[in-house]
Parts: sequence; C-alpha cells; structure tokens
Amino acid sequence: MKTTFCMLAAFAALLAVNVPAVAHHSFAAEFDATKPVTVNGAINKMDWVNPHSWIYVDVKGADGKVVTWRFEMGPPNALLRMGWRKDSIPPGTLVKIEGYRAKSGEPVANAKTVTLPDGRELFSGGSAPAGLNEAAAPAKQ
Amino acid sequence: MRTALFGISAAAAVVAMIMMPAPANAQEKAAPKYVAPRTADGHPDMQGAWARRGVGLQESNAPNSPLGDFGSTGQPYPTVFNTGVSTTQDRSVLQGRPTGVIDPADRVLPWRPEADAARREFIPKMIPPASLAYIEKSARCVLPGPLEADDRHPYQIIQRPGYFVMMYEYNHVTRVIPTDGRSHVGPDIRLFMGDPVGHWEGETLVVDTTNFNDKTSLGRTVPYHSDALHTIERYTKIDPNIIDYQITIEDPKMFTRPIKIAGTFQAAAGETELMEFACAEGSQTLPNIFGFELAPGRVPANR
Repeated sequence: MKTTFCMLAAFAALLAVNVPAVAHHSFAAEFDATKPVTVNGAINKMDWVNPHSWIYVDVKGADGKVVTWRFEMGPPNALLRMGWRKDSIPPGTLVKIEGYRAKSGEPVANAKTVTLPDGRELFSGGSAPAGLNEAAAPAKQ
Repeated sequence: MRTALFGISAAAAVVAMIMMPAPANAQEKAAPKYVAPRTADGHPDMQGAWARRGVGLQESNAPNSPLGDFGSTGQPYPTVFNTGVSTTQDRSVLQGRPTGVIDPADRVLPWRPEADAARREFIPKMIPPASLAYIEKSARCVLPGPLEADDRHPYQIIQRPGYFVMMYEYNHVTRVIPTDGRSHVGPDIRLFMGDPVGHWEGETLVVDTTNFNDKTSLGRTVPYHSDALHTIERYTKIDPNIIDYQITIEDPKMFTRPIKIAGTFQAAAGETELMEFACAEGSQTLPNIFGFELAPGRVPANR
C-alpha cells in the first residue's frame, strides 16, 4: 500500500512538472520568489473568487498589534479539485501559512502551503502531492 | 526508503515513456477505435465539463523571461498550481501521446529572424514594464487568444445542430463555432478570439479560425502575434473521458512555417461548474502587478 502511494505520489509530481502550465499571469509580475514568508494566525475570511481565491489571516505581532495578511491562492475550481471545500477552514481557525511576499511590500503574499492545527497541509506538497487528487477521484459518467 | 526510491524510479520511467513523442504512424496505429455517442444530429457528443491539459507554446530555444514560468523555473513554487481542474480517467489512454509542441519535433520554433530579434528585445522590458504595452496581457485581463487560457479553469462544451459552443471559465470566453458550412467574416473584421468556423470529419471536429487582431499573446516568451494568425484545431473524442486536441498555429509574419501543438481535454468531475470570473474586478493584485501608488497615505486594499 505504501509502495503504491509512493509510486503514485512520485508519478503525479513528475507528471505535474512536465505538463506545460498556463496561468492567469506571471508569478514574477507580482511576487518575489526570493522573499519567502511564514505567518501564524487566525483565519479572518476566505474569498472564493476568480481569478484567484484569497485567504485572510489575522497575525498578532510582538507589540500585540494585529495585522491582517492576505494570501493569493489558486482559482476556486482548482482548489475544489485539490480537496478544498468552503468549510475547510472556518474563521478563527489557527493556521500556519507559508508563501512568497508581494513586491509591493504590503502584508500580501502568494500562499504555498496552509497548515492546519492538526498538522494537515492544504494546497501543496506533503499529504497532497500535485495530481494525486485527480488520480484518485471518480471518473465522469 | 528503498521503496520510495523504487517508486520514484518506476514513476520516472513511466513519465519518460509518456513524454516521449511517438511517431505519427505509430500513434495512429495505437489509437483506440473509439466511437463516441452521438448528438441528435449524428455527430460525436463532446458535451460536458472539461479540463484542457498540455497545450502550450513551449520552445526549446526560448529567451529567459523575467515573467518566469510556473513549475519550470526551478523556483520554489508549488507544482499544484499546475494541476488545474484535471480529472481522472484511465491514464493508459494518454500514454504515448505527446503534449505541447510536436512540430517542430525539437521545439525550436521557426522564427523569422527579424521577428525573433524583436521579441527578444521586447521580453526584458516586461518587468518592470517599460510602458503599458509591455505589461503581460493576461495580467491586463486581455482575452487569451488561442493558447493563453489558464488551464486551472474548466471548459464547458455545448452542442446544438449547426453549432459547437465552447465556454471557458477563464475570462468568460465563449466561442460559438458554427458548423453549418458558412464562410469566415470579411477581412476587415478583427477579433481577439478570431472568427471560428467548424466542420465535422467523421469523429473529428475541425475548427478553422482567422480574423484575429494582433492584441493577444501566445505564451510567456511569445508575448504577441500578428493579425495574420490562423489556427486549425482538431477535436477527437478518443475515450469517454478524453478529447484528443491538436492545434496548428500559422503566423507567416512571425514564423516561416506552421507549428503544431498537441494536448487533451480531460473530463472534469461531475460536480464541476463554471464559476464567475471577474478578471479585473475580482483581482486584488493590480497594485502589486503595476506597482503604482493609488494616493498618498492610501489604505491597503483589503476588501
């Protein structure tokens, strides 16, 4: 079983890398891959909108001041295909989000992974390798 | 550990087989003799929600672009951004089917030297943009043209007698493709998505599109094309869950000969539905993209 999972995960990851990608706009136009950022905070809200979903997180600084960070994510249909649901992370949920900062310098970033209190990772890597959901989901018709 | 390594090796071997371009005749021989269910007017029924996969103008001699490319620059970016709404089916049907540019086989695009030089001068000026003209078209919510729709969004195909309709979630594009034998519109009419006319060749829908303007792009390293663009698409359902897709790109002002690209439309899950796509209004990224200040002391655009 574990072997099957490893093969499937590796296969899915490799396949994803090789499939030509087209996206709404360039990551580099907006975000800085040399500026990774990790925040811990409470979910404020999530916007399920195209062209990008957004997740808002209230982060308390050392001075006690709360700053609301917002993270750009994939479009709603892509998140659905990866297993996200609208109630995946209700407001108030404590999460760790890793991503890359916007070039504007504002508390804005592009999300890479969202880690839930129980350790589950949503959005990428770890327990949800690229393409794994698509391989496991039921066929049409 | 050994199990994992074995898994990776085996997976790599499978991927290598998948990515290896198969000779055209071998592909034809291997193609399953699938006959699609029919619509009321007797043509292959391709209706439903689909994810487009593998279609893109990747070139092996591409100049470096400041725009980068999801998943292929080596930057620490999640590969899940590439998964789109892809679906699921028996992947054995996809084996041996090349994707992306299949002609020229070496993916060295047949650029006219002057056109290649012009785009190599253009690309470095895109970030930061030297002017509005250099801003990536998709970031400006310009319609995607033949290749630039974001594949993370689903498509819906609807067929009616005499029409084949492709609805894109991406940018709410709708291509109403007449299949009733009509001609293209007159040459003075120029359109972002061009003027498509289709006809059926047995199991295959052939769509010929002309009358493009020169205001869309073909890829990150092909940031524009000319109004001489002409495309020929072929849609063939080869499995209940897969439409084989090929598109031939001709642009005699840019390239010395046609370029052929292959990919698939893969059935999306039953619950998939197209959602609202308000490109400019829905995007909260414009200040990040354009780098402008709205006003002194402005408040961050948290909605």
